[in-house]
Amino acid sequence: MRSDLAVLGARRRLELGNRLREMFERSRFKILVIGSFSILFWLSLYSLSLKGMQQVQFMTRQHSTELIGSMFHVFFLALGIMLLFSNAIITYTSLFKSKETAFLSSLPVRAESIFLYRLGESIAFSSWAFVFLATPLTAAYGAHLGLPWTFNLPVLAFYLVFLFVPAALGSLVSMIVTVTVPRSRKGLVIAGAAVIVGGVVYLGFRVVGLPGGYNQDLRIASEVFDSIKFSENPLLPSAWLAKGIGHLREGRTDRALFFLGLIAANALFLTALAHSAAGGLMRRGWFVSQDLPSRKRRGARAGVDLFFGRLLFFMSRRVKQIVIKDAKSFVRDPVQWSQFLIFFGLLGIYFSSLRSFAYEERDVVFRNLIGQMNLLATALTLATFSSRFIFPQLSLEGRRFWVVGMMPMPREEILFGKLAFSFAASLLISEFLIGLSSFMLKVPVSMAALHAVALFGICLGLSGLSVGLGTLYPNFAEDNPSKIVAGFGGTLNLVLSLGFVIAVMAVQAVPGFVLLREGGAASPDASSWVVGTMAAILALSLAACLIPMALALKAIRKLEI
Amino acid sequence: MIGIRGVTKDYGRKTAVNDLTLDIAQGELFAFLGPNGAGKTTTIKMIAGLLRPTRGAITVCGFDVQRDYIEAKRRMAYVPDQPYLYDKLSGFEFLEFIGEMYGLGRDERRKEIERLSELFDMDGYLDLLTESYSHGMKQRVVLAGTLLHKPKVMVVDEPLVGLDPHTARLVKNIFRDQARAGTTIFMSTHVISIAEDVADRVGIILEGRVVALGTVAELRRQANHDGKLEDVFFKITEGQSNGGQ
Repeated sequence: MRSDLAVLGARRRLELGNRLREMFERSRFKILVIGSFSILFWLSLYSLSLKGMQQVQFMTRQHSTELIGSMFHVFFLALGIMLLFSNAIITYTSLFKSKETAFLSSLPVRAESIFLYRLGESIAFSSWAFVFLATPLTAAYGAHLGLPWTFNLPVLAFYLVFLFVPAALGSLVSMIVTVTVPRSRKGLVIAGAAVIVGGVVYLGFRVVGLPGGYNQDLRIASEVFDSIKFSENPLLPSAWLAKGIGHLREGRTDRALFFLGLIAANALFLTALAHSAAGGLMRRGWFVSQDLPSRKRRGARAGVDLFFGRLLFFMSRRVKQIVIKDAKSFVRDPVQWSQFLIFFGLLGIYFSSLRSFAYEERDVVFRNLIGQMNLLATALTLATFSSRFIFPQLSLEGRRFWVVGMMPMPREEILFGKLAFSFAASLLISEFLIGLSSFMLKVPVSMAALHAVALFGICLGLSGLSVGLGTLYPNFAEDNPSKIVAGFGGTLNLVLSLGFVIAVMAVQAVPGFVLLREGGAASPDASSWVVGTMAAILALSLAACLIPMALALKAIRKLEI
Repeated sequence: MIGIRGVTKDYGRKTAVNDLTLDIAQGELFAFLGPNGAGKTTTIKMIAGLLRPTRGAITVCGFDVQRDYIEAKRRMAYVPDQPYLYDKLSGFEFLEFIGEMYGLGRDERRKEIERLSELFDMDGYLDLLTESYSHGMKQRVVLAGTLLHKPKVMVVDEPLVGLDPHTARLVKNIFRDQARAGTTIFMSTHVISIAEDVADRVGIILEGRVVALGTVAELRRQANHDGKLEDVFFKITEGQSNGGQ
């Protein structure tokens, strides 16, 4: 007789096999498109990384090796933190909120087995981040240094063992937090917000408190990386990963093996710890999550309704109600907004600490360049979030779609409501961030205005793309937004959103280039370039918004509930 | 077979089940009646071990469902009001999975699946992915899954929701046969007629408290009403509500 874990694993493999078979039989084109985009994405990232490393070498000469080493430390630390958060969130959802866990809990299955089964899923999800972000970077690193392709094989082994560290740690954190936080929704929200705000404030102090100062002779980028030396702390698993890969590069196999062993030992220890703790913690966490009392919302209704009612004064009453419904659903789901808060919060901290790097003392060309990088970071974050949160909005109506579908209003208004919600929310947060960046960098007014207009266009285009494609490729059978986003429509939306952001960034870089050509001298000529560029951005954004929205409006009229 | 001792379940300040004590004997078919929000599903979930009582204890076949949850679940089957199936598994694959989870050998599983497939008339669709099933088809597969390991106790939440008359009668007959064969069935329902048709005993729960308990005849006496169980139910629940006000 097989163990319960083996039976669960076999079921998952069977399900995966059925899924793949069905995809190969019915959706070959979809596989082809997703496969092509994935390869293209990987190659683009590889090529960008390679060019970036060559550029770093050109700019920093003899310091390039140590600088790229620092980049790896920062990159793996950031990736590790991201995976820790995402694993904690996935664990909470999959262990304590999933219908499957409720079903499995009614069977004679040990809690530890359910935990390991879910941990495996969590690791499988995380591995995508390594496939699409880390592998092109290290492959480019190998190519940059002229190392043989076999360099990538042991690197993969490093990634494989490293994945267990944030997964086990994230799941442990998630279980402990679920069991120990105050047992009320209010307490849950307050504790969650306190942890996030505490983390954000701590990181903020770390960055803001670091010594700044501009020195002409120092390398530009290494200034930044020197000031985040904490990523090389020898107690961090991400530092072991970076050091291990560094030793691989140098051909010091024994040292590389030491770090591989160090990561593997810690991964095993943390997994074993989480596994043995899961017996008690998972069941307690399950009961705690089921015991949360329903909170009366009548008192809160007035506040949210009033705020959005005033903010969206230009909308019809019915569209406004749809926006308010979506906003309430978002605000009342900490799993959703906490991700939003973490990423935009980190951007906010970085932008507000720009002066500690003394960037505002640099020449206008440099300041504009940093401003554009900030614009790109904000736009890429927006693209990820509109794909993650806005794209699945219509699908998430799911079996409840008849509620809005049967309302005495044209269905098109539902889409306008979702477009307005997405546009208003993304515009509010991103314009604040880019305004902060422009203020801290003291960029010229014309450039600040250009960045603000570019973000306006990006918010409009991304909202149109996500709402439009979300309507063209709905998935009403799925309740989990992560799974909706992972489908064909979600992938296409992400790829088109990234393409759109890159297109807008390319257009808005034109006045910056003119500025560079003229050596930073502000001239009326440059202003006319700015105005022309703004018009081009708005035209591009309108196209990105209107084309998918027009197709979606046609589709929603025909949509069968 | 099912022992419920002084069980209370609180959600914050709200008490969903209040000091419930019940004993359900082997082979008994017990129906739990009550209006929406009375505490039926909470009780069922506590018996199934999916919720933890705030106070009190529940045993199934002598095993505490909290302390010895694996042993209790080995002897029990739970049918939720919303059937859960894996979309990308066929009905046959789902039943195989359930059978293996309960430790049934391959031959025994196959034999039982064949028997249940015939019993529930599932031959036509058991090899299709469950995502294509109607609610009734899903409910049949779930019920078949619960019978695979020949449970000693069945805990069933709203068994007739969404079923056509033919399947509803089939389910009622199966419950009767199971009870006759010695299986204890604890069933919650809104459908008063099913309780009247098949239940050995009926419990009426209102605002977390059992307000009436006994055979249908005993309930009629208690309500001093000689009509249908539906009228008895309304008389008892309305009397309690008015008394409570």
